[in-house]
Amino acid sequence: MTQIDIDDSLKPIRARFISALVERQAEIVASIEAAMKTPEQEAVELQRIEAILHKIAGTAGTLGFADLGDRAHVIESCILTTRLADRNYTADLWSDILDWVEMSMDVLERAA
Amino acid sequence: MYILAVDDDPIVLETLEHFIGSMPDHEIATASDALEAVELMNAQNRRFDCFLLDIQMPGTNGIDLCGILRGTAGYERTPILMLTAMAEKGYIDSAFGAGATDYISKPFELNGLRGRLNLVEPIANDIREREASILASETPENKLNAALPFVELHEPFSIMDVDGVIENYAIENYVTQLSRKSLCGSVALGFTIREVADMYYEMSNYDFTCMVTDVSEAISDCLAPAQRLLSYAGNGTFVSVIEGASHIDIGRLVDQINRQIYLMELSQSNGERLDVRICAGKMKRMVWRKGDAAVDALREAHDSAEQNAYRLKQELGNIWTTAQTA
Repeated sequence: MTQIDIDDSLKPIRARFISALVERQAEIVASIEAAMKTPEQEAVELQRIEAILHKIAGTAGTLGFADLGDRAHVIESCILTTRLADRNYTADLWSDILDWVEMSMDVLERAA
Repeated sequence: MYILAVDDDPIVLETLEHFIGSMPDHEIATASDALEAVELMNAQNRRFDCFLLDIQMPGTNGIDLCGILRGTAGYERTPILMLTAMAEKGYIDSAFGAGATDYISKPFELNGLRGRLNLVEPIANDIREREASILASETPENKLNAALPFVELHEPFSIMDVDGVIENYAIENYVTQLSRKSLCGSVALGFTIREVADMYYEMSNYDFTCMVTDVSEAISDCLAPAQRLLSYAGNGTFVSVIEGASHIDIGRLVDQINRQIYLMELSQSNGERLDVRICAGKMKRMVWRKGDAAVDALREAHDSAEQNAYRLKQELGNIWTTAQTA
């Protein structure tokens, strides 16, 4: 099986990744809004976001969305290390998450 | 190989089914969590030849599942590849400590996955052949011999159920996985059983493997509580990777290990007491080493321990020569 064959045959899985991305992105947006509304929920919502980004980081690169996956992995790691070090979450982290949502919207637009 | 992949992300499982389905030598079954995996194993008439485990899963995580598999009869040596996006050293340490054979980072590619499966296939084949040979044995004595195959002096063999002791190929995979930063505070240190060749030729195969296993336990216990992994490399030599050990006094450590071995009162099956002592080589710092360079550090530690064992034997010989001359 050549690389081109593999890419072609991965199309159905890639389509399922995209439809899962729609749901996962909506969950992240809901967590962002929940954290803005109730700041004391920030840690809980960030842990939810971390779990979603972890899943996306695990498959995006394999299915041809390497940039989206790499960025998800960087943010996921940042949330994890901040949590484990018991430090305060920064405004920059939230800004990175918003940038990632925008990036995923672009991916979804291109896929539509 | 008949492979069981366990991951809570259906997209990962589907991708694996697709990739492995394209490999003529392999067949795959999937489970979305540890519970489903165990149920599937119990329901199968066939034994799995290899596992692919995600780490972060709801309920039992992949590292705990790896430990469960290692404790399951028939799966003590089966290749277990962790397939995960968790790249932090703590996860890698825990996975190999629980008995993982290798560690594949997500996202994975077809050729990378194929290469890793090819590397562990000989282990799966060896396990299958050994099982077939046990089944084919007619007498209980032959079955026991088939279950405990002849061990050559220079060959590594699997040591089971000793905390911190892993397969020799797994320790190479372990250091290959770690980044330079992760290896920064670690050292490689080798230990050799002194005059092991004489012991090997005087003992039964069974007694020799028991003695090596007991020595591995003494070394591993004495290295704890430091984060350590140890493997048996053959020829009476063990190689270890120890974290944060740059301040260890090797002389005292060796004394402590030898005392522990003495207290174990090792003996052969016929009751004859064994006088087993080990020596260590020079510590090899792993700072700034990565990949093949990290594996080289293991080899240097191995060589250094064996050279020291040889030197000690020679020195002992010199003492007698000097005494005779005088």
